[in-house]
This record gives sequence, structure tokens and C-alpha cells, in this order.
Amino acid sequence: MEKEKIEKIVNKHRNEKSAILAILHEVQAEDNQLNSESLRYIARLLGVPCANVYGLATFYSAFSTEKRGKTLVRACDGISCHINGAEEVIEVLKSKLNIEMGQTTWDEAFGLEKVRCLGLCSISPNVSFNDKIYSNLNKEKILEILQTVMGDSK
Amino acid sequence: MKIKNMKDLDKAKDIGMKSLFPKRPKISISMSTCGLALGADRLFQKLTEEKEKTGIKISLHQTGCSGFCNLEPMAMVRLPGKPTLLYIQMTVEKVEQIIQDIQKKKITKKGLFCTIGSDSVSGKPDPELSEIPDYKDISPFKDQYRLLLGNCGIIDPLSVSEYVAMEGYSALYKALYQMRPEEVIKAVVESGLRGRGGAWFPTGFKWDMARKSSGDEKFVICNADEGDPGAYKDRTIMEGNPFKLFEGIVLAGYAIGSHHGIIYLREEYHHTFEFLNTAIEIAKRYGLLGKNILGSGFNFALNIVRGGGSYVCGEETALMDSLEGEVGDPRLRPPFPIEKGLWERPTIVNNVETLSNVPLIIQNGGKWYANIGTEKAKGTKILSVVGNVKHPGLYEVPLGTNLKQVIFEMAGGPFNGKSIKAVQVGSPFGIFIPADKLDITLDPEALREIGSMIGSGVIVAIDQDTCIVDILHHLLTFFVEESCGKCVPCREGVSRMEELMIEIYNGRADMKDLDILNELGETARDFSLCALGGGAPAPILNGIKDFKKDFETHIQTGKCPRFS
Amino acid sequence: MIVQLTINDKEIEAPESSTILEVARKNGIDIPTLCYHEALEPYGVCRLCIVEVSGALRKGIRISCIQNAMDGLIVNTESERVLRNRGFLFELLLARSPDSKELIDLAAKHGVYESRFYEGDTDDNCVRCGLCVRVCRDKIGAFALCFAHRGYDRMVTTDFESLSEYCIGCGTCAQICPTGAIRMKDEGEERIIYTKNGVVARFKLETCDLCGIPYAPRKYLDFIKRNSDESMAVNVARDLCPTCARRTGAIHLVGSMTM
Repeated sequence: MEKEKIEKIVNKHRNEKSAILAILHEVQAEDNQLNSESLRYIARLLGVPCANVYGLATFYSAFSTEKRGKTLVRACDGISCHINGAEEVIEVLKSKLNIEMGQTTWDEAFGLEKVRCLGLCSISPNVSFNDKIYSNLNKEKILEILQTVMGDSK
Repeated sequence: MKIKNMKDLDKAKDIGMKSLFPKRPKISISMSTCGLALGADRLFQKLTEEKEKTGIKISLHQTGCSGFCNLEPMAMVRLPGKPTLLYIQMTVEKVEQIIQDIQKKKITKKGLFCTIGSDSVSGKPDPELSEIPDYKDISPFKDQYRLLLGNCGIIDPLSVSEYVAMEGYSALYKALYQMRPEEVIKAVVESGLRGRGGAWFPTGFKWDMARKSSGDEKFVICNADEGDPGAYKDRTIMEGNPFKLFEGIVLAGYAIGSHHGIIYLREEYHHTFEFLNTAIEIAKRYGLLGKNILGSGFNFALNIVRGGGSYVCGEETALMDSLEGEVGDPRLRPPFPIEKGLWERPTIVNNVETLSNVPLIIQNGGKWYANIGTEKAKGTKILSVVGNVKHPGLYEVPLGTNLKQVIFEMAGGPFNGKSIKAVQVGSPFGIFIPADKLDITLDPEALREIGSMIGSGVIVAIDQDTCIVDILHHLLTFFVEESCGKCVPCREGVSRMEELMIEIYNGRADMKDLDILNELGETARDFSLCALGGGAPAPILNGIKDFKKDFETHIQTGKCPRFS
Repeated sequence: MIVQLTINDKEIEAPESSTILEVARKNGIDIPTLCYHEALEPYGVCRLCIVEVSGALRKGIRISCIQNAMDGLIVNTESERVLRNRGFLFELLLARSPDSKELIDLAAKHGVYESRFYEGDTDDNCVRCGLCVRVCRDKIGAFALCFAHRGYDRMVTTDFESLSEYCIGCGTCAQICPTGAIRMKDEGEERIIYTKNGVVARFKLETCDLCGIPYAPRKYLDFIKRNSDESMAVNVARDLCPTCARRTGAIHLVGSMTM
């Protein structure tokens, strides 16, 4: 991400070290990744060790040091979703997107991740496509949604 | 439009009453994360369009979720002179029908689930609605005691005046103007309130110690990380009645002498984050946060920090490390947060549900609260009942309520004629209680006696077609992925448990391996640094004891009973 | 304040501020540790230092590196429960660090010779004790190392798991590592600090002004200069290897004494 954009975000948080989580969230959201250039620059601006920032970026599930798919597909695998058929929904996602959990499609259009949990346990299984959440899913419904979403992205 | 005194509060109450009970027909759509996921925004848009198109005189509102997300999208319709009507699983067509019927002064029957309060203005039951049940007589609402969830799904969560009309902020006003901080703490101690996030620690005692800790700067942290899969009670409060939570946080600040609160919010709750930030801005505009709250001279700033997606950050010391810009590694204790917490300052960390109880305690008195529940477990508990039941959802009941009653009478029991095999109570660390042992009361003492816990109140019911080995493996995967990896017993022990469980699942183990699973579990249980590693083994070790048959099937045949 | 406690039936007096581990070691009682070092704050993660207590505390197992001595405390460092659990912890550690001679010897000393959990895969021999990260952070101040990822995958590494520009090449991490997972090697004019996962840092060694042998990286020498009192160090103005520095210092000292 361009240095000016990073500076703007860091300045917004008054260059405070304790705001690093919020800063990483914003850079991740904007750039869809936290690559080494961005992280090193953030570390420099905040005056924190580079190694620490790398530790943060790899500890938290919300962050990715590699470029994520443009559409991040998060399949909830909490206990309620699991009991109500999340496994089948996840199999369809893996097969249709042709990637394993944690991977990104070759054209960077989609990334697939597990999440626990979205807090929608009485309407499980749930999957989110970036910020759009679909609930009460089963094999057929997720297939239909994928066909629409993948069709749109062409 | 700051509320600076009792007169302002009364004025807000009047506005709120008019908003809650307008003279014209009123339609409220619940627009929490769940409603939105099920299309509530389209309904609201349709209603707005119809209103503009037809010029129909109706009052359109938004509410939060009541906790029964599978009944969403919900619409509450209040026709003048009639009891409030609750419509469930609404669609655009059904909503169009309601508009048409309102114009014809008819009551729409399609989608009508129940009334909320069966008496009309005359005080007698309405003959037009004689066959419609009232919410307090039917599942899933009956037998609940909705102290905390009472406003959720009823009021506009972003309306200060509606909350004030429902007695909101009367507790904070009373505390800031008529009580000393020590008296606030005394009331909380008297109430017997204990932590609702899982630790069950006496809240008043914690606040008292924090008040007595030396230091000019103290912090109130609201733990809104809600990491237990199956739990969404905190989300419901935050999206349904955020001002109640804020009121509780400010009361906590006043009690311990803190002027700064932080809500540590779960990363996965994207909508809730935006929503709460809006609510904070509104509260500031009304003088309910920031400087000179309610004109009392007491200042308290509140901000929200999003977590990074890590279950272990729900543990209070890991949470504080996370707030300080570090990874979420649990700290050694002592020192305890009340002495040296966030930035080494005295800090209290309380759950959303715990803090939401406080306004009620201050308003009605500690003794009033202590009359609810049992001898040793006071107040209500919000239970998140999920899994194989007819009516999954949030059930708020007095502590001491019978588990069997909750599962079979309130939540409707299993669906499709199946039978319940077991119920996991409390949290992912709760044991699976076999079906024949469900006749117990939901209070920490009774639960502890059978090796269970009240936890955050998650209740997972599994039916006869579920396999315990599959569920326990699923749980272990969760623990392994969420472990911070700092201490040996959890990082190495629980990981080896998961490896062994995979072997068991695939029929590549033998019965002796169950002994090794036990040894690993005991080591993690007894020597882990925090409650993640310490709690992970419990459901596994109990599962081996109580559901040996599922284990035998896997070990002997390599096949899962689910697919037989 | 001085307290009186009993360790393995031996009555001992000790300051209240000391930990059971410190008291035991001062009195020649051996308790194994991996993540403990006198120069650093206790970390309490390896759990090898468990002891069984009773008396002043409720009977149970405590972590001796963080448990303070108490008046009337009775400690048993070799009870049946302690030996069983400690042995199990060694098994878990050996599975993770199968090639570490130091760990194998330590485990053997405590009666553990193999691990049921070892599946034949070679790992990096790191027990995640954090000593290297902590010493680099808290004592040296170079902040070259960190823990990355979490859970079983938690690992000691540099920023971006690449060659570190913050490492000063002092080798304290290699010296403090209890399992040999992180090592330092001087070969010719080059020093490398490395783990099984890769090279942490690479340096050219400066040569001694007097005898000409390659002996330390420039960054390390600069660090010493920055942190030394000028009057104390003989090698501030010149680059001197330890041997030459000692000799020069001795000459100066004798010289100043005979003046």
C-alpha cells in the first residue's frame, strides 16, 4: 500500500502504539493484505520493532500477510453450524471454488476461510461473502448462491 | 440536545412514549445482523417505498433482534386500540399485505405469530384475535424472565428517548446524583451478581478491590469478544439495547473511579462494530457519554476496539495484552488486573451481560435482584440454546431453572421425532450431559457437582443421529486452532489429543489409546497457563466415560455412527 | 522479610520475595527448567519446574519459578505426582525436539528416555521457551526475534522470517537456548546465527587491530561502544579481540598501579 495512505491511517490514530490493531485492520481492509512493505512502514511510523508487528500479523486470524481473494468467503464452523450441516456446505464451497480451506483461487477472485463464529447460531449454517451474510444454508442453497456470485464476478 | 437534569430526562421520556405508542399504526422491523442476513433491509425498503407511494399514515421503526433469529425477519405491528402483533419469517409480499390491510383497517392473519400483551386498550381480550396466542403463553417466549432482553426487539436500539421511556438512565441518574460510589458497589455486592462471561467471579467484590487499588487512572473493559461458538447473547444486547450496556459501563466507571471505558469487540461482528460506534456518537450527543454526564460533572469516555480474530483474547489478561498492541498471550497471575491491568493500571474486565445487569440493580436495589434465582446464584441468565431443538434461541431464565424444562418445554425438544442424546452446557469446555441426566438445575453449584459449568450459558442439544466422537473431534480442532501456543501442556498436550482423536475417528487406534487421551487431558487440565488449555480436556474426558459406545464403533469399525 | 519453609524435608530460611525455585537452587536442590533464566523475568511456560506443596498452601501442584516462598510452606520436588507429571511433560517436549542432545540428556536425568508421541518427523528442536526472544528484547534491546503464528505452529523467527537487519550478532540467543535450536557459527570471516528453519542473520567479522583474527560483527562492536562507560572499556577506540583486550587492559592496570 502507498506510503501516503499508510501515513494517513497511522496519523488518524495519532501514531499511538496501542492503536496498532485498529491500524492493521484498516490497512488490511484497504489493501486486502498486510505485506512486508506495509508492515515495515507501520512499524517505523509507530516506533515499534518490526518483528513484533510481524508477530501480530501472523497471530490474529483477521490478518493475512498474503493477498486475499477479492471476495473473502468465510464459512462458519462453530458447533451449531457444524451440527446443522456446515460440513456439507463447506464441501460444496471447496469443490466449486476448487481450493482448500485457507487458500485463494488462482485468479485471486475468491479466498476461503473458516470462521468461528458469526453469532448467528439459530439460523445456521452461515457463510459470509465479504460483508454479505447468507444463513439457513444447505448444499443446494450454497450452490445457488455460488453460481450467482461466481457468475457476477466474471 | 443534552440531557442535563431530571427535567430533560422527563422530556426524553415523553418523546420516547410517543415514539413507542404513536397514535398512528406503527410497524417495526428488526434489523440486527440476523435480520439483515435474512433480508430485513429489503422489507424496510419496501415499507418506506409503499409509505411514500401511497401516502399512508404509518410510523416506521427499526428494532433489534429478540434472540430468536430463526423467526426473522420479524415485524411488530401496533394498530391503535389493538394489542401489538408479532409477525415472523416475513417476506416482501407479506409486508405488502400488511400495508394493504392497514389501509382497509384489517388485521393481517398471514405470518401472525402471536400478540405481545393480549389485552387491548379496553383491558379485555380482543375478540378479533381470540385464536391468536399471546407471547407469554407459547414457545419460545413463555416462562422466560426477560430482564436483560426485555427491550430487544421492542424498542429502537438507537433511540435514547425510547430507552428512557422504558426506565433507561434512571439508574445512572440516581447513582450520579444520589449515591456515592461506595454505595453503588454495596448494591452490586448485595445483589450477588457474578460474572456472566464464564468466570462467575463476584462482580461487586471485584469492583470493590479495584476501587481500593491505588492509582489515578483506572479502566473499565467490557469484554464483548463473545468467542464461545453457539453464543450470541452479547451481540443481541449490543444490537438490541446498546444504551443499557453503556449505562452499565458508566456505572462501573463511577463505582471504581474510572473515566475511561473500552469495549473489546469480536472481530467477526462487523455490523455490530458500525452499529455500536453510531450508538456511542448518539449517546455523546445526548450527554450520556463524554464530559458532564447527565449534567452531574462526572466524565467518562468510551471507545470500541475490534479484536483480531482470536478466541484466546476473550481471556481477560490476553485481552489486555491485545489492547496494548501485543499478541493475545495470557499473563501470569498475580498480579491481578484489579491491581495491575491495562497499562499496569487497575482494571476491571466484565462481560456484556454482567454490565447490562447493573442498571437494574441500581434502579431496583441489590435486595430486589438477590430475590431472583437461588440461594447462591442470583439473578437471571441468558441461555443460548442451539443445536437439534425446535426453537433455538436466547432464553433468559432465573438461575436455578431446570435444564430439562428449558430443552423440552421451552425450546420445544428435538425435531422430527428424534430423541436427545446429550446436552453440552455452558461453553465449549462444558461436558456433554447424557439424556438421562438432564433433570438438573442450571446453577453453578449443581452443575459443578456433575463436572459441568454455567459458563457463558451456551446450551448445545444433540440428537440420536449425532456422534460424540465427531463432535469431540470438532471441539478439539477448535481448541488447537485457537490455542496461543505459549505453554507446553496446552500447545503440545491438546495438539496430541487432536492427533489421537483423528486416529480414533478413522479406526486407526485401539482402546488403550483412550488411556493416553486421558493422560494428555489430565496434563493439560492441571498445568495449562489459562482456562483454554485447562478447560479443553473436560468434554473429551467425560465423553470417553459417558459415550463409550461411539468410541468403540469408531475404534472397531473405523466408521462413524452418523452414517450407519 | 525472612520466611521458613521446608523443601524435601529440609528446613530452609529464605527471603519472602524469592521463588521456590530460587530457594531450591540456592540450597543445592535440583528442579529442572527450560524457560527459566536468572537474568530474565520468569515466564512460567515449560511447567517442568512443578512441585507439590502443602502446609501454608492448599495441597497441590505449583509452578516453582513463579510461586513465592511462604512461611510454613512444605514443598516436595520429587513426589510421585510431580515425577509422573514431569515425566509426561518431558515426553511431550521430546516429541517436539527429538534431536536436541541437551533436552535428551535433561530428560534422561529425570528418567525419561523416549516419547510415545514421537512420530519420526524432524522438527526444529525449539521448545518455545522464549528465552531467546526475551533476552533479545529485554536485555539486549535489539528486538530481532519474535514469536510468530500461534498454537502448535508458534515459532521463533525474525520479522518476515527473513534475514534480520536488527540482529547485532551478539549470539546471546544461541548461548541462552536450552536445546540448541538456535545456534551461532563463526567460519572464517563470517558469523551466522541460524535455526533449522533458516538463517536469522549473517555478518562479516571485523578483525582485531592487534592480532588480526576475525572476532566480532561491526554492529555488535557498535552496540558495546554505545553501552559502555568510555573509561572502562579498553577497546572503545580500537577494535580488539577479547584476548588482546584483556592483555591490553592488564598492561594498563599494572601500569596505573606502578605509577
